[in-house]
Amino acid sequence: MKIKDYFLLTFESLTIHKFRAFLSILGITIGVAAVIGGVVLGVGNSEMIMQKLAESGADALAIYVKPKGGEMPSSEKIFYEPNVAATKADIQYIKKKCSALGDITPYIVLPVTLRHEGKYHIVKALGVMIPQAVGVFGVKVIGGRFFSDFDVESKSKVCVIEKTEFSDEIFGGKIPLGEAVLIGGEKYKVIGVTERMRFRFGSPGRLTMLFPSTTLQEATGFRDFTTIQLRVKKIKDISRARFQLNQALLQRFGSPSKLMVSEYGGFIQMALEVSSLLTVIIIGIAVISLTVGGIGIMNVMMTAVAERTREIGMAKAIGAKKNSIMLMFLTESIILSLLGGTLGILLGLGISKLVTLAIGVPFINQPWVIILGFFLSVAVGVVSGSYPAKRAAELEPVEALRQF
Amino acid sequence: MIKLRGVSKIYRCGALEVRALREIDLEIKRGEFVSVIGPSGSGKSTLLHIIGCLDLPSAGEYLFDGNAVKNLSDDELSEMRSRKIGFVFQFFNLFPHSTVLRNLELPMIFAGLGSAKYRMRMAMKALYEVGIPEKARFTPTEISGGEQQKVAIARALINKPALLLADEPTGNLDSKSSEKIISILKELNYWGTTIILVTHDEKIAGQTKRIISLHDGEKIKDEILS
Repeated sequence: MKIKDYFLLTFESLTIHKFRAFLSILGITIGVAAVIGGVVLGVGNSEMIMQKLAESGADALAIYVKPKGGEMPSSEKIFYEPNVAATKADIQYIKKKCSALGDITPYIVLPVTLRHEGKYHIVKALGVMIPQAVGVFGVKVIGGRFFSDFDVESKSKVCVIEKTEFSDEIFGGKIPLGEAVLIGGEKYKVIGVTERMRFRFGSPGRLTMLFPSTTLQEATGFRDFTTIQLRVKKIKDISRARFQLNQALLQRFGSPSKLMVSEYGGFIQMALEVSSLLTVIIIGIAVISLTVGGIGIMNVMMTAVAERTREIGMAKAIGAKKNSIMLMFLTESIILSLLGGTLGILLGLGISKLVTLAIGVPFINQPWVIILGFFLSVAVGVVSGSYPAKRAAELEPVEALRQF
Repeated sequence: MIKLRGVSKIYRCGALEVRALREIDLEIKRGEFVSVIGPSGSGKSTLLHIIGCLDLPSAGEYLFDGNAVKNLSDDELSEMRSRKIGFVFQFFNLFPHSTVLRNLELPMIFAGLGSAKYRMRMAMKALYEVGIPEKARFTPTEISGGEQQKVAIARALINKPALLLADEPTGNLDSKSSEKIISILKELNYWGTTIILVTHDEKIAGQTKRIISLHDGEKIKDEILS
């Protein structure tokens, strides 16, 4: 028998009992839909968690100077004696060695005094490099502009203020954009306002003001950076990135190094585990419904073999081979489950699209999910069709013909 | 063409043993038109099934064209039924949900023959030969018993078998349709097809060239009609 003839005969026999065929594929449809939905929602969910974590700055690592005696330096100490972390050459070295790391930006952070309307405030002065600082710190300019290359090169006396409740407190809700403020007795022009950045900086003072790194270096006399801020490419690689970083520091500075790498939140790992647990549960349910669906198809195929016993005898009498009979029934069960699977893929994608819209999780459709759906349905078809097909093929023609 | 030596068939039904055929010796040559008669349960159908390679003898030897059938594999038996033997049954045994045309195509499909177009042409040709081309698109339930049997004969002949086996082909038909079927069979035999016909109707048997009588699984008479 030719392959296309198997399909021809299968479609004919499926159209005889359309409703029964439809009922029998529902199990597979639901099973495949559950797999697809579970995977899409699971992937979307963990993607959303990653995004949220990244937005909160959890994808960042920092290199500090190791505190003496195992304690973080007291704020007074930093105030008077900021620690120097690394030179530009160190940063180049780290960049080369750590593949899991994305943006790297060194910066200077130290407390300075701001005088406004006759009052003195201690604020954090952040000397940043552009353009890396924008991505790493999450700078979002909502008024004015950010630093230009010109500002950096000419060491312009300009600053950008982070808008928070502290800026509201000091400036009374109105940041003096375009005006000069007095910092350490010198005038700096406020050229921009940024939204709340992605994380806090370890230095006394509540208000954060950003300066071109060169400006701050000039004003304070530091040539090097106090901290190196790093961002991992993918948040799930954060422990790998930390490992690479520690190795690189060890090689660069030897042991014991004066530098240390910041801890990252263990909750990242936990969030990932919770998210994958959810996926595992959904896939578990999917496997159960696929099994039930497979049993449904097997049941229908057994019925079909019993019903068509006489036809099987007739087919054998007019020359059908054992294998042909077997393949006919197998084709039928595979086509049934493929139909079910196709419906399931559509249903699964449709439902997960709706759910993602409803709960605000990103809808991430991957081709492999669809391939998985097809693969699963063919597998169910083969597994549940084999036994009935074998039964059909092994019927004795004379016995089969005697059936009425 | 067909040679049976001491062929017996025993059916076991639990502890019960049924001897359907006892030591049948039989030889049928190419071009013969043989009828097998006998009362119900005399083993006529069993003999036909064995000759048609649908069933294997319990004892004895069956040679088809000089080859021992018991040495053939399952697939080779299918091949024999597909290419060399045509079957016609009392209850027509057409596929009830397929059209007449598809029923005629099936033996070619199972034999892996031809394109869909070729098969369709052959099927139509066969339908013309039995005289009901207008029924091509009907299903078996939509046509009369006589027409169904014509389709069954056309189907049995579609792969041009040398041997046609008919198990009570007129048993379910009125006398007019019966006559028509018998005349088709006679015509086929005239053009060279070997035919073995099982019947319990002596009038029909009388129209063949040779009558074999069975009783309780034994051959009791074998007469050649002039």
